[in-house]
Amino acid sequence: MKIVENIPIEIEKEEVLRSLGYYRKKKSVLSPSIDALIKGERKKAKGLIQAKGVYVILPIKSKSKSKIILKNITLKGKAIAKAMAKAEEIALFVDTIGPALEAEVNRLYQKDEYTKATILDTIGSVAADEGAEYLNSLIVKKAKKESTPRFSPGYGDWDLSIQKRLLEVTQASKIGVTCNEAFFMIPRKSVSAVIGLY
Amino acid sequence: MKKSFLERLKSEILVFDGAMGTELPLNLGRCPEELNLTHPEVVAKVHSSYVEAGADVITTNTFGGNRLKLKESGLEDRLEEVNIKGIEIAKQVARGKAFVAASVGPTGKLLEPLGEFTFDQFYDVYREQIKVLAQAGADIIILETMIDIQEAKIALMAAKESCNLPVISSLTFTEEGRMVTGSDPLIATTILEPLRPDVLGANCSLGPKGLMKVMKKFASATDLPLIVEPNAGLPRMVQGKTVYPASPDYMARYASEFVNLGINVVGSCCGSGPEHTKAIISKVKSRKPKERKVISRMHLASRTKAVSFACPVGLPRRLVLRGLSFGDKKPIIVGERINPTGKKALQEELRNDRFSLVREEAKRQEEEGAKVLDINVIGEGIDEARALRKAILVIEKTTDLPISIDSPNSEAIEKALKVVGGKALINSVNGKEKSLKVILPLAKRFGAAIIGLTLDKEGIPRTVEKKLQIAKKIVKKAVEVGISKEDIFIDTLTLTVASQQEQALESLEALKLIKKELGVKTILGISNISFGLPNRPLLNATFYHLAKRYGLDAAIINPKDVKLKGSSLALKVLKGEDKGAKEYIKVQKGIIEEEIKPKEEADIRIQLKEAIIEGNKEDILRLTEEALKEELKPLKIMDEILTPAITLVGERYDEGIYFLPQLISSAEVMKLACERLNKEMKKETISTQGRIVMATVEGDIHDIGKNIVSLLLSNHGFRVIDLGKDVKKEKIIQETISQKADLIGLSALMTTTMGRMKEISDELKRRRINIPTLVGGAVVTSQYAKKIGATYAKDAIEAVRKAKELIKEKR
Repeated sequence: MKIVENIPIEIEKEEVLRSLGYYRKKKSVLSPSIDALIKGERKKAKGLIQAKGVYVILPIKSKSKSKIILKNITLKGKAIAKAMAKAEEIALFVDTIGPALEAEVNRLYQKDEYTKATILDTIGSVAADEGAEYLNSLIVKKAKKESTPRFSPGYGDWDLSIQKRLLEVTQASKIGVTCNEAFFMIPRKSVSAVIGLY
Repeated sequence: MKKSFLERLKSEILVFDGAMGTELPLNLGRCPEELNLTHPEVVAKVHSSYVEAGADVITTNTFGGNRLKLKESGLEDRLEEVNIKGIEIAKQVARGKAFVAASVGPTGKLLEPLGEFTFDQFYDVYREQIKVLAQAGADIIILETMIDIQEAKIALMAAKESCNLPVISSLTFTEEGRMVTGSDPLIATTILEPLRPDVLGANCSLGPKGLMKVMKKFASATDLPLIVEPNAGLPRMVQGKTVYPASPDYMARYASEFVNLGINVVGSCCGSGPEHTKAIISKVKSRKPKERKVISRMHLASRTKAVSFACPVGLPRRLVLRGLSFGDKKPIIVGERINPTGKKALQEELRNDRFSLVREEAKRQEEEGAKVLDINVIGEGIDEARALRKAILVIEKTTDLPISIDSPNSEAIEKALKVVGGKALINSVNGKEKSLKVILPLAKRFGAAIIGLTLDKEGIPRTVEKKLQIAKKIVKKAVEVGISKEDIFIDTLTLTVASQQEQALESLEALKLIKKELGVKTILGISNISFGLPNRPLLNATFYHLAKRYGLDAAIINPKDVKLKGSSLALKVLKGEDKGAKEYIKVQKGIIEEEIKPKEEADIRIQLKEAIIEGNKEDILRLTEEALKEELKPLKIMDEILTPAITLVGERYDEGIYFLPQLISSAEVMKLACERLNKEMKKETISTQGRIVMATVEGDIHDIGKNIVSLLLSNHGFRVIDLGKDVKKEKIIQETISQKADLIGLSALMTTTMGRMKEISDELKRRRINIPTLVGGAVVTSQYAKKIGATYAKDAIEAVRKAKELIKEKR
């Protein structure tokens, strides 16, 4: 298991806009006032985000069309089996941006600052995703291998219940990530995923 | 006799006599006219010298016979005598061999705003003298040596209205080719021609050479018969005596040239005598009047500036090159800004009889390119007739633009017309009988142009045909009254494109047709087109440029707007290609928020609505307070302003024009307004669409979606009891019962928590609680919703819609 501290987070503005439902094709309008709000929340977010990650690379014990058996964990489902078909080994990883941003989002909602809250929350999601992308490419670089696309619990028929085991195997608690009985990760702005390396 | 003077004018050049004043011996009386009483034989001698010389017309010694002039010599009590005697002397000499033209000179006083005298005072002075002269047997009235165009106009009106004699209006020009108060021959013609003088022209002033330029302008501007009576050159002082340098031959050579120009009546003035008359006769008497073509017709004028609305056919290129404004086919800009509607400061000023803002607006609009100023002073607490009159006097001192009198009130229009020192435009008459009957004669009397609106007692017609029909009626009536077609502007009416989109092109088609069929001019009040839409100047400018292509002659608009280029997006709105202006609004949205808008001018309703649409958090509470202060009922504010605004935002969100933050910021601002309004309403009267218990189900800790739905629902008048996130089934059901909820709203983000929705639904059924359930969230689908007996909403906007439907069904 490896811990990665201080994952650099850019918070791509385009990605934030897209996540907020802004479509160029539909000629959505970005008004100056909203643009300013996004700018402000992005700046604020940079001070609230502390992105960290953990990962493990596990050899494949066996794989079929409906499951992949690794040491300590079995990935069940046709979708995940298909997605990992090429893989020689599997990397499991978790990243989080920490609890500070969502605390601020909650505070904003409490103050009826709905717009800022929504924007900041979306920024958190974008940041968590960027963290996952960073880990993904870091793993690929270190392994000097190619990787399959990222696959997370809940995708296709991969049952969310795997979340708990995935967090245990990666020892995500070391970066502060746990999950509740409905398998929601806490902090919310966290990503868990697997990639196949080949 | 009238017939014969005018008849003869058609087929021959008529020669007037020479000077009277300079032919009379000095120092015989207090004024030349006194000689009619004291030395009639001296006057008769002058007349007979001209008759002997062969003059067709002799001019009476009554030039200064008006009350104001005679008063200077203390003769005002003998006004009748002086004038009657003047006619009698001339008639005795003429004995039918020559026409007797009764001379009427200026008062020697100035009209307001230049001087102290009013229209009515001058009118009475002229009427008094002219009545006497006509009754005494004059053949012709000659109003001569006029130095101010407004005075010339009043004299002409008085003459035409107090007798049936032919009336000659003869003006005097300075070396600059203008009258003392600034009017050139084009301007003078523009102003006087509608009053139909029988002969128009110039006398005295510059000598024959100088008047040649003046008469050329007259000849190009009118088809009325023209008169010229130059003085014998510019007087010089030689050894203490006034000497006029022009010899009879010199004068005669010019007379011939005047005839070449198309002048019909030639005479001479100060410094000339019978020899001059004789010489002139020898040169011109055998000539025939030459036909003239009007090549520079102007349509409106102030004392010092004339405006043409058309590019005359066959216009000589040199006129264009000399910078006369012909050939400029852009619609003439009639500045619309002097109008208190929606301008609190201006209203306040006008109510208090102050006009500094009027002055400012006039100046600014002139600088920005207005060629005519529309003046409207209608507003609560404003004495319209008084304010209009004063505003015009102020504007005449400030700018030299012609004036458009914007009023439906005939009394106010008449008072205004009396102070306009030019030819005004009356805005407006319409197809209603009453309007035609009252306004048209006023226009005719004062020689004003008119705007005819294509509406009648049935309102504004929506079809091109009906508009044409009303225009026809207006034109027919106007022509019957004696108004020239040149002076009729038809306005096919601009309706706001926001509510009558198809009417924009309809109006333009109508004006094109009317112009072609009726040969009149067209005008449109442009700005109404953009009412209710963002970036109005852009739409206005685009409509202006579009209307240009349909041959619009004049546009009532903020001249500032015209400087903008049209935009293709705005054009699509006008052409109806952008239905409901959706595209336009969405693009403008970004722009208008940065603009500094004259907020204080907008109606509070519009401001409030805009604040919601723009998500303007800073101003919302202030605006809500203002709306309440204006005694709008809280419920009314909610139903008629806030709800339509947030609904519009929702529609734009649905179409992808707005994205989530805009939807939320509008909703957030709306919430603030609602909370404020709720304080005003008694509990029982708070309108509620229904009570909704909202929750994110147990285990689910994402509540953004649910928060937004709650916000939007409360915006739309629902009472929302938001239980928060990760809420247990038991709590949801318990609250539903105790809160007497009409609807349950559930949110779940994941497959793992979605199942909770079914559990809740099953529990409700088990307990026979018949309350509809609305569900939503990332993984929830309409199929799933159906399966568990709930209703699905994909987003907050749909949730509002579905919630309304569900509660309606339930009730």
